[in-house]
Amino acid sequence: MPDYNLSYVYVLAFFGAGVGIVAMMMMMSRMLAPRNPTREKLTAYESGEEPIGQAWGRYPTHFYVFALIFVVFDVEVIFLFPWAVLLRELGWRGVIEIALFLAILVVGLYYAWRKRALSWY
Amino acid sequence: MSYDLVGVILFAVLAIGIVGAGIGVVLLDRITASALLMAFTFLNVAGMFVLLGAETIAAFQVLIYVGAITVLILYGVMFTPQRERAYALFFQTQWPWAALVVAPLGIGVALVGLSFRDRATAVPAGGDLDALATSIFRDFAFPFEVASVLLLAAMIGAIVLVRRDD
Repeated sequence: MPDYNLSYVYVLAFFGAGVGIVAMMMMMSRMLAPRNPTREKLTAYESGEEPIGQAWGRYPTHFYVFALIFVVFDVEVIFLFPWAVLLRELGWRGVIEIALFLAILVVGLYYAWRKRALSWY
Repeated sequence: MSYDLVGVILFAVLAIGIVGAGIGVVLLDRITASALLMAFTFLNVAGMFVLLGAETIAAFQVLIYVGAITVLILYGVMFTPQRERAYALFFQTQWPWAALVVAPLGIGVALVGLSFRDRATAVPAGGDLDALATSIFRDFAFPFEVASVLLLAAMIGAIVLVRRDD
């Protein structure tokens, strides 16, 4: 048990190294880079265009379908993980269960495709 | 330093994170900040799962709640017209009703929480993936399949609701 928990020390070490490297790079940039901001330089970059209005705008609702399809298939992947790890132990029964699960969700994907919910415009 | 003490300290840090961020979600008047603080609450709950030895659940908590649910909430914010976006929701006219609903719930949860007397048994090391997979695919196979129908209903419902007229 202690050895197992000790492995989290590695996780913490990686986390600390990640934070440290980012902090070090930002500090080096702050120290080395010349800073001479003008009004022009501080405008938001928007693909070379003049930014119009605020970023805090209202978005068309059809983007919600993309968000929801993402959530649905995120949940699907969640269920695929334990099945894939225990593939041999679960045997054909697991294959049938996951196939049924996927088949039901593919119906939804087909519906989304036919209703043109997958096209961006 | 013993492992018990480290566990207690981590629990305290995570609990402060959960409660503090939860209070922030209610009190802040910027709704996007509330949404992101909610993601932080979910992240701390994932830490709690790790403390309980349920690493797989913790990973799923991060994927689903910190990732997907937060995205849905932020999308919901962005669909709302700016003028109608909620500002300073705290302590408006609905607070007596909210207190009426929350008080019995809170007391009940506190009573159940205080009723635990035994020390929790040690969690078997090595992760919870095996136990999780067994319970999903052996013991709860039918609820698992029903979950896919629920996801299908959510997807079709969203497509029908936001259908473009063309």
